[in-house]
Amino acid sequence: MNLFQIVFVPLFAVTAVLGLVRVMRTRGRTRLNAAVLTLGALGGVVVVSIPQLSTTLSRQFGIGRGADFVVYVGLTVILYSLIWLYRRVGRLETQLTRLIRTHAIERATWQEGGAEGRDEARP
Amino acid sequence: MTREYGDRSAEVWIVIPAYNEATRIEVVLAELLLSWKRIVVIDDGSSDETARIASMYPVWLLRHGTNLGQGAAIQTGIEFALARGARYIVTFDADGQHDPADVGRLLTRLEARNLDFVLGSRFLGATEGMPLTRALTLRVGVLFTRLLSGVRLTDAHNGLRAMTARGAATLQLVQNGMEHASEIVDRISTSGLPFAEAGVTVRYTPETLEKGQRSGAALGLAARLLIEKLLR
Repeated sequence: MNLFQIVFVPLFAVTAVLGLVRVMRTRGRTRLNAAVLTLGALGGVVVVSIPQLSTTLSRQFGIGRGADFVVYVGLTVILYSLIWLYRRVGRLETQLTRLIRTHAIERATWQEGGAEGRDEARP
Repeated sequence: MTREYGDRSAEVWIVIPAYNEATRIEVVLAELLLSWKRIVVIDDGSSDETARIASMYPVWLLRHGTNLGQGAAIQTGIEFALARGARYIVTFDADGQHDPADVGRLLTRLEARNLDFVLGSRFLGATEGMPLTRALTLRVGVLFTRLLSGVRLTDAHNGLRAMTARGAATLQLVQNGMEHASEIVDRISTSGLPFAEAGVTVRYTPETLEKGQRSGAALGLAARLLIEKLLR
């Protein structure tokens, strides 16, 4: 085992275990995401433990080096995660906006402003 | 001057989004109140005295608990005005850039031509003290909006607009920040409701330029709008 494997195999293994726990404890979309994370981490354990495997796999896709294949897969996963995060933040922002807006409208106050003869202006 | 517009003044709601405008909003309110009596100020989480200054005038004051952005403040004001039975809604910046006299002109055009939106255009009207870089940025913004929405305008990012209640109800802005200006054009385009531009005056002062959008920020806005379009 080289240094890279000593560091990353346990890291991926722990991630896989944590992901598995989350799969068992959650439901719906969160469970699906945890399952994808678990599978990805298990894939990481296998690919880091047996580097030749990634090269064999990469050739199936017409990519020469296994490392390149891993980078491409990694970039795709990161891109997907960014889009997912962006949409999630967007949804949260929309909810927060609705909450603040409702609160603002419910607590709207008419300011008399000390102006004379403007009472009829109050809608 | 409220008398000048008679009963129409009661049908018109002026929506003013305000964020840290304590030093400028007083003049804006004082001038607008000469002609209009339904004014809604949306204090968008200001950290200065904006709300206190606004409360010195006979206006409706709505306060966002935190700063959401001008688009969110406008949508809040529109929803409030519509719930109160507004017939016409005018959006008006709090920084004193606009000429209150233009409000009546936009509304006259709205009614005379049976339109649902009249968008203010500084390039059809007049500008005072506009830097060249700002003019160029706005021109690029017009081009970008045209590509994105297919709508030909001369000024896509002017805060002074008049609309009917029917038009306002179709907006439903979701862009909280400055992107809302392009979103409004986009919504107008998809709604199919009649609209036009009208010349207005925009005054630039060192203060409004300091507070306004940096030209470089326009790139960020364009990127966010494109991403929203792609991911929606």
